[in-house]
Amino acid sequence: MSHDPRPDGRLRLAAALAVSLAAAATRSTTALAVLAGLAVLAALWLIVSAERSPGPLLRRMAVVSVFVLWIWLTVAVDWRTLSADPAGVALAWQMTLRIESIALTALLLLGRMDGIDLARAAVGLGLPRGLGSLLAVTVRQIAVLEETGQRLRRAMRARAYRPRFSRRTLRVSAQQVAWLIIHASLRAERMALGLKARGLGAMDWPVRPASGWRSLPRSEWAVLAGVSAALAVTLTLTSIWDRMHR
Amino acid sequence: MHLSDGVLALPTLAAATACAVAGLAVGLRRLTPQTLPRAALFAAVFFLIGTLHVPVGLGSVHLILNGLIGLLLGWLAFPVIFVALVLQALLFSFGGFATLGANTLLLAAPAVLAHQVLRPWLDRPQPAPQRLMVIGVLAATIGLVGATLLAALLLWTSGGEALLGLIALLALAQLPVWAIDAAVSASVLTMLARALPAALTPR
Repeated sequence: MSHDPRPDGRLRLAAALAVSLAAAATRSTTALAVLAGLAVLAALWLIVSAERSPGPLLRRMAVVSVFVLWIWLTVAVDWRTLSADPAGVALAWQMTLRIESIALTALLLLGRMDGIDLARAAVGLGLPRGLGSLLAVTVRQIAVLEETGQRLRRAMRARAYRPRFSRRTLRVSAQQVAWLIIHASLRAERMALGLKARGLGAMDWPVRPASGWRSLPRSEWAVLAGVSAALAVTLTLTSIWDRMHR
Repeated sequence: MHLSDGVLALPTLAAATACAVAGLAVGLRRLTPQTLPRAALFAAVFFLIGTLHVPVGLGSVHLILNGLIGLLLGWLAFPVIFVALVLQALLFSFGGFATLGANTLLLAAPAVLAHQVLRPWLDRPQPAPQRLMVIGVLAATIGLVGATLLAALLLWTSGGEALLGLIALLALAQLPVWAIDAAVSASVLTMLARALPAALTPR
């Protein structure tokens, strides 16, 4: 039995990767449409059962959809004749379904994990420990550097600075980046010295070993089983459907 | 610059991921208990740089500075950029998890190239501010042009002529980013040389 209160996201990460790979591999628009439909249904179910609020979900999907808009503008439209290109529309439609289904599934499965959880899950699935430690230490340092960045922004606002496309904005942006790098370099030196003084190595840092597979909650196994079953059924049935309608 | 999940064909995705894994393996060999704190803090800096926006016209562009990060870190740029991209995918849905390898490759490989090409120039004693500015502009150019070319190559191998418009738009969108990255990288190097020259020396 694990005494760790933090969620173990190994199975969710594995499920998200399985969906990503399956969607990237399939050439069937029908399969992609079903996968996207299932992701939307899962999202609606989570929203209705108050597990997720729609606002953040829609905002994150809007970020993804910017790239989708680019695709429609460049792939689906023949700009020489200013008309829709049927082959382009088919390709754009396929890419849209692929992008949206992968993004929404990843959001639903991993949306509540933070960087440390993700590092732990990824190390549990075979990511080298060094990368896991780097990810976990980075998450902690982002909070510290973000505080520095906020102080800088407050100081700039106090001096009536408003960003616009000007030489001054570029100079101030450069000062912000330089200050972040200086702060990072000094902090890294202090961290390395502190760890050395305590006889620790940074590689021993925070990614704790994952608990045994058997101790993972049933609900997590159910998520992986559900996603795998949905993938298998979708890919099999749509492949039969496509063969019948070819 | 991020390629979304689902844009690249599986063979392209697999090849790009294999190249990124090779780069990560080299980078990880340089990740020691001594270098990890610096790498983590630079990953945090790279992550935060992505949130700095400069208004351009009706919209805004965000800084990338992969060339500058590569210049300062060398092969460590691979794990550093990988980690920053993981967090950007997790927290902002930029890019995605399946394209992590491709996005790492297209940002980190030019970063390492910038290091290999420009580092000897930077390591000369007492670099003049003009030289630092030129190095900064070149680092941004190698970083961004390299990333754009790699992205174009990955898209071309995935969709051929059908994606030519997307490739052209992607390249066009990088022009203001390049101008801003170049100006900021040049200024950052001169500021670092004045305020903390040790930050420019390799560890």
